[in-house]
Amino acid sequence: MKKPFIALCLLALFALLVGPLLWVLYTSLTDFNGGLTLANYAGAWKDANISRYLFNSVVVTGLTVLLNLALCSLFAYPMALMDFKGRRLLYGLLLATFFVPWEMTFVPLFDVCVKLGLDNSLWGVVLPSCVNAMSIFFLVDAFKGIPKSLFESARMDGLSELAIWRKVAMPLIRPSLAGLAIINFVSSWSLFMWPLIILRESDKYTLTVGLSYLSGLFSANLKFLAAGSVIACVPSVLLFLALQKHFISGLVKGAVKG
Amino acid sequence: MSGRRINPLWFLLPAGALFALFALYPLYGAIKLAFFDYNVFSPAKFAAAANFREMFSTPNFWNAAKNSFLYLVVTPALAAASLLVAVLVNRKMRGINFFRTAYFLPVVIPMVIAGIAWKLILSDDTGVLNQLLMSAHLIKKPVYWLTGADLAIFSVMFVTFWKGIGYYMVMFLTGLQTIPSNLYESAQVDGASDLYAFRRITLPLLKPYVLLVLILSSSAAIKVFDEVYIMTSGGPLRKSETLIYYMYTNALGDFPPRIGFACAVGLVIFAAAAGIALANRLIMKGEK
Repeated sequence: MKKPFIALCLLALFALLVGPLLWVLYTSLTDFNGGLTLANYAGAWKDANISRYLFNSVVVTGLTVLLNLALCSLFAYPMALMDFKGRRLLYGLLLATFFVPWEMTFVPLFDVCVKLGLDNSLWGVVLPSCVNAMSIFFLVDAFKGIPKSLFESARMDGLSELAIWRKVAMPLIRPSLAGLAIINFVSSWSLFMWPLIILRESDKYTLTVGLSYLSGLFSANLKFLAAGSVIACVPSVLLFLALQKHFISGLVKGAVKG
Repeated sequence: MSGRRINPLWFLLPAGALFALFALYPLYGAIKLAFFDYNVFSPAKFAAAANFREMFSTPNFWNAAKNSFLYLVVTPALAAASLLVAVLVNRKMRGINFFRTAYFLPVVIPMVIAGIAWKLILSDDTGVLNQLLMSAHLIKKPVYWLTGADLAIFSVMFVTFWKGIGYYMVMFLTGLQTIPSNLYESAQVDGASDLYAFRRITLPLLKPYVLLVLILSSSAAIKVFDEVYIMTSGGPLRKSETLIYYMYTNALGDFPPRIGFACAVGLVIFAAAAGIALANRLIMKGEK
């Protein structure tokens, strides 16, 4: 292929894939006469309650990522390294939920959350989504990659299993933990259907639910909506640009585990 | 290996409890309720297969099933497009990393935001696409991208497509980098065209990656919800209503909610997802 043709294709794809995002950015930064302004951000932040949604999203994503790493790595440790009764059964159960789309269970899931008093609360978003089979499989693989001799010598030193998990195993799988954190950050930050179902009051909305609510209002201010959308993109885009390599390999590994 | 020092139970308990409560129990409940008549307000009554019988005789269900099936068209389109994009950016060239990074951006943002962005662009009168096309005199009156009965679902599918390209591009890039470059060099020496090399070298060697992409994108397509909800709410006249969306409106949109019925739809979605996974697996086996 000729160079100019390649360049043309590259630019056309850029317009198609990034153009819409730039258009939203432009919309958010201009007033109705086309002049540059930050007023839409101020309006979105205060009048459209974006500050609240952002806070909720940060809380939900932060808690989800941290709990996911802590709880799933605890679970994965004996699954990868200990031999105990019922291990195969557990593996089977994990695999079952892995293949079932969670969406088909949202009604009983909602029931459980109501009974536990979790409806219309951020915990109601975090707790059902912080533990999943994919993360556990991901970490089982990571633990299995550690040379067995390291565990044996730690046991000789008299460390308890919990101490081995914390002081030996966890530091050794740090790259995997970082990859998993990225996967869960992206999916939690983007989560929409479940928070839409479980959160009733707009003060509890995360960014995705809040912006969807804004976009559905008949009187929606499209400029505020654009500004809010940009705000919702900034954290993941910045994280992506800062950690590109880890980001991509993390997302791909997460998908391939399936 | 010794599990004597500490009972594995303490490791398994925290995540296991959440898993049982929020994954296993709802799964059991969803299967059970599909065979019950339940609307939250009165106790659940065993209904045997009544939900399924009603479902299979409801035009709205078949409409949603048809739309979900149509939605699967996204899958081969995505595989083909992202493969071409991957081939395009898989070259040594000044600034190529910039484009690779840029093409991945839609993957990173939430689907809801992608939906909002495209809704702003595609809306009937105020949308920038219609304005551009009209000022270029390509169309006389606005195209109803999101409110036209025949067009709406394709606009939503396009957003799924748009957001997926970068993701599958990266998978194909991983695959392309496993192909030794001397294969291409010797093809070049033999005077083979780029197209010939693509068909005879690239495609056969990338087959496992093509299948992976087909599996991932088809199992995502059968569960599509966010973009439908944001862009069309299943409209106009249910023309873009997919199975998950249909299930959602039965459980939460109708009054009183039709819980048992929604769970029965859920089981059908599961069967469809499982069928797709199985079909993909069989294709994969056949290829080996």
